[in-house]
Amino acid sequence: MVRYLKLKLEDFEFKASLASFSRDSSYGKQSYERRGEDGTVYRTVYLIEDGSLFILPNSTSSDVFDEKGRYLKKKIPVDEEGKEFTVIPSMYKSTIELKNIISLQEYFNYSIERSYVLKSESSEELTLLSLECQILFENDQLLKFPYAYYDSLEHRDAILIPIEDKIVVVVGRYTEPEFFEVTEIDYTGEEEEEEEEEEEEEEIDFEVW
Amino acid sequence: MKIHLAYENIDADLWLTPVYRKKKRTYQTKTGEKTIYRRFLKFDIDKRPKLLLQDPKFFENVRDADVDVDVELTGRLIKKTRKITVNEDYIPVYNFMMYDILELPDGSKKERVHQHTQGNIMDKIPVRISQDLYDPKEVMLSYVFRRNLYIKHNNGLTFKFLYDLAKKLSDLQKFARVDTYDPKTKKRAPLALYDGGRKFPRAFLEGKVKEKSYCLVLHLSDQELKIP
Repeated sequence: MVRYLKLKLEDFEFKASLASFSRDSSYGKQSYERRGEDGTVYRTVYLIEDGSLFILPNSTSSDVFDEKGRYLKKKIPVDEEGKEFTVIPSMYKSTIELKNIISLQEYFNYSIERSYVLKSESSEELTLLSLECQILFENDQLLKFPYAYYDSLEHRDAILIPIEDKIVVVVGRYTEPEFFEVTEIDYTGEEEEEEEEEEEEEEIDFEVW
Repeated sequence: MKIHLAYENIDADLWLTPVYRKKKRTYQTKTGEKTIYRRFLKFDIDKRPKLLLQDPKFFENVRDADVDVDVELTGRLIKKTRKITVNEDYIPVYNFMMYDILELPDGSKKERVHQHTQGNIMDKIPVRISQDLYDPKEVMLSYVFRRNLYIKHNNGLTFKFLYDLAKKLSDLQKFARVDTYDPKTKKRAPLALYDGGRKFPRAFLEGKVKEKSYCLVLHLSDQELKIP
């Protein structure tokens, strides 16, 4: 079932869906097979630690328990410092206002995870958005909105790129760029300290005893 | 991770670190106490593979099989597991051939004997920063960048080398194409960060400077930005 986003550009509201395309849909999906001499396809299973049981992929689950090993119905997600994560609501729950803009330079700070084409039942509905994206792109700018398929704990952005007459939406995570400096050695400071030490310390004799 | 990188007539071993680092997430109880993760068995493996093997009528099989939960197995705590290959009777096999199967978008299939990817960023032939410069807009419209990595110095000399390179790219407002080579054929080959890893047919270098610091990002792509 196609899920529709409710998008708003200035005063114009319209519905659109995201049609996924990936590396697999462009070049094919690669998988592996293990085969015997007669061509029989073998399968991969997992052997548990005491060797008593084979289990198939996806036949285990993980969950959170308290320190006494009791199952927890309610658990609170926290980061390394113990700060609670804020839940980002699913983008399908409310109207998305298309007003956030990023520069082309900022685009390259994103690690892209998914790619989609924005689709609408009537192509006219996307004309205005397509025009807006084109104008922004000519000025090295792109529209973005917060991306969350389900209610999520981690933030991703969807960025709109006009390609020919279509709008491609790429989804990725932003990281603030890190600049690296050289570690400078302060020789002046050390020399001064050495001079002080020389005054305080006795000169070492060359004699062994 | 290290990279053997060359630009013009200079080559050096440099650090390579990921730009994006996943935030560590744990859970607390309502009262702020620590929690632990546990892995356990979900279902009876004796019945499930047989049902899965009869795939076309899977749902009918589940309905008719009247599968009971095996209380001895379901919920059993599991720690480490080891991946093994078995035949259809679940007997471990050690003598087999690996094949790569490629399912093309038109539904047809291709296969070949498995080719293990060899990491090629620390080879004798260095990863080369090409003289071909590209407009960032053109690069952005052509490729999807899945992985971004910082190239970092490891001493004062390599700092100077990388700072000058970043400044040059920043002043020109261009990206440099980065090429890796097959040590046998000496021809261009996709970049692979490590053995068995993903292959990236395109790599570009972005450079920025801020006062006395630099930022060099290696953008890796395994997908063209083409609507199929």
